[in-house]
Amino acid sequence: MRFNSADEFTRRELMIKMAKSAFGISLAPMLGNSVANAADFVPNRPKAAKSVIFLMMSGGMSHLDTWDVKPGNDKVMGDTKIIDTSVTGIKLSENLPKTAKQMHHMVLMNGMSTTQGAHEQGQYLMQRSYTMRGTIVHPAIGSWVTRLAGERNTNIPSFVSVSGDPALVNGGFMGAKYAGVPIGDPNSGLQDSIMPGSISEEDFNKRLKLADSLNKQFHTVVNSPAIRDHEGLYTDALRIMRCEDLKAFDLGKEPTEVKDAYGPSRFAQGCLLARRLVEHGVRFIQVTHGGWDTHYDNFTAVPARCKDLDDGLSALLADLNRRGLLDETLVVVATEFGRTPEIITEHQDGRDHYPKAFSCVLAGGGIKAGQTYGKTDPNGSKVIENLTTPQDFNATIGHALGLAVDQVVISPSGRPFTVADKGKPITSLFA
Amino acid sequence: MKLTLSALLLLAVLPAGAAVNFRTQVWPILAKSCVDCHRAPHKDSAGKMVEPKGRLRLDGAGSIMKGGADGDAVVAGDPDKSSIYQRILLPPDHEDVMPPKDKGKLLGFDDSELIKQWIIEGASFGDWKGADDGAGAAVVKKPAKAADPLAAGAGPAPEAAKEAVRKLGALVTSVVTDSPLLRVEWVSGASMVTDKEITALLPIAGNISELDLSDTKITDEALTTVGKFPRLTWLNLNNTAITDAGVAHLKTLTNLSYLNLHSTNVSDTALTSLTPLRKLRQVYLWKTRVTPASATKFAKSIPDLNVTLE
Repeated sequence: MRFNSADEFTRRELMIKMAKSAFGISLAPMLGNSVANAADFVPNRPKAAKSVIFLMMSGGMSHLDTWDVKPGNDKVMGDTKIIDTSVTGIKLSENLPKTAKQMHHMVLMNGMSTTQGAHEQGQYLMQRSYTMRGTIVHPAIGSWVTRLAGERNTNIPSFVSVSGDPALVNGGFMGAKYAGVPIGDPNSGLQDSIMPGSISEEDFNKRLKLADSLNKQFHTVVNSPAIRDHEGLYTDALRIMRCEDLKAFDLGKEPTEVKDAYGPSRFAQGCLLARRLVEHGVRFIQVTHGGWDTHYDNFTAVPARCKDLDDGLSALLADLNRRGLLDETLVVVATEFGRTPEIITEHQDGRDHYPKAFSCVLAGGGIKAGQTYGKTDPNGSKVIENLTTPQDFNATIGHALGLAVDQVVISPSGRPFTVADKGKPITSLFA
Repeated sequence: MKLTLSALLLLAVLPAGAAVNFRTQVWPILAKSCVDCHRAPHKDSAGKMVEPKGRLRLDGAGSIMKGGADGDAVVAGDPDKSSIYQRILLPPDHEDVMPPKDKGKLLGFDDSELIKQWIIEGASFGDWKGADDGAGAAVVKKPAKAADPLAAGAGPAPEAAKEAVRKLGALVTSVVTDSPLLRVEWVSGASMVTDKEITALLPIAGNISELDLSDTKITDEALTTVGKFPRLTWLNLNNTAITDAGVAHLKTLTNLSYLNLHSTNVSDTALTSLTPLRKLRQVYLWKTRVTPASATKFAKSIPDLNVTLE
């Protein structure tokens, strides 16, 4: 176990808020160069994954209608039919036909079980490894990964969140610099990072010089570190605006046939953006796909959500594989809980929240693919083999990256925390 | 043999010159601070059965080495992996600290150092056995350090040499804990990298086992340099101007297991120069001029080789 202290950053947070209101900079969280650097990180297993693409199915994805199918049990399967996959003996729901052809790259985690049955609490536990409490906000898993493994590309943010609620990816006690940088629409790229087209480089430099000379005068009168810090933010923002790595965020650089292969949905395009960001050294990309809260009309709503997931996930796995990137990229499909095996007929065949048993998926990242881990009973109502908690799941993500999952980070309030609380990595999944 | 040697080296730096004796030095600490909770199942004063906490017993040599619910209590030679030592080091208010807050006083520095030294020296119990019911004899667990034959003979790369490569914009990292082997890549600014930068890698040639040159401006000339990296296992040349002639320079890389050639101009000819590389396991050929027939033939020419064409 190693210990290090979280920095105090209250002043920086203030600076970032100021910069945001002045510029509308969405990049601000990574500015300031004080984030951990990958040059100082040594993985504890060989051929460790370099990046994570975390696909968050928000709302509680029905395990029975996706990954954990029950052949012959029409009572719990309802209208959902079952199909074969590229791996003999493993079956999936017909809602995921393209993904079924990529099964040889994936591990179905069918023994997931959580203690939280409400959305906010469930997502919090899944993504932060701790239960929600009033006194502290625990960092998101993406913040932990950036903090422990360091930035591989110091020019762009190391934790990016596509189409999700920014509150779900905040850095908790690690602060804004470890928060996920939010991107609303993958097709519109990074907010406010483009030079205004009407201004020439020469004019822009002139304006900067003018601002600089005004600042200099001001600094002779008010000479404080806080003010100088703020000036650093301007410099960093400019470095990013001029940086070649920014094209990582530009889906316009992708050939039409690749964009089409991923499919038209915002989620699927988010998967394509995630691949581009991996190629540019981003550590953790979260792409959120909402609408899984199928209390009503489950058998219409789930296939509709699955269409986008199937397009995006299958294209992503095939694309990473042909580029030789899959072994060093861990692809995760996660959700906060499953849905009831009982079909609620009075709700047009809906399914309610079900924390006791659900499914997630791991692919790539050096995992021994083409298998299932964990098992539920014939009704999908109870885990009967290899029960996996959200903490175990997060510890396994950490293990894939070669992180010391027992590394303690002390919060500013003096309490010790780890990336996966008391979770145990499932090392048997790795070669 | 290797373990004995390192133990001897450690002995040399011990102040008293004597090894830690479990019976006279370590056991009294465990007996006083640990064994009350970590001992054989027994009845308490009310007649209720009390199981050892965390299924860990510290009252016998066999059970100490067996570990508990949290895994190994003692890994000989490796205090970092020995939970018995890690747990006594935690901050006083940590929920996992041993002994727990309500159970007794924390160990002093001298006591924890003694336990650490005993583990480093190989966790020998001498003739002490303690309670031996059920647990069996002590099986000394050696640290599971993966012996990497590839690293044999490679000393650590000089810091100055690594720094010089970092100055060229490269990210230089160790591939795994306690290994002299390095990964070199240009995560950013690859388009500025030319054959000249590759020549600058020669001072650490013996240490590089992973090299990512994707999107760089290198030519075949750079591959004559890369051919001199004896420990190279992983090479990415995706989206570069290399040709079949360049790939021919790689035939010296007998340790190569991953080769990424996607989006290059290589053809079937390149595969011929790769067949002597018997350790190849993954070759990526998407968007090259390689034909499916040749790719299939090539895949069959080396055992366990995976060729990805699309």
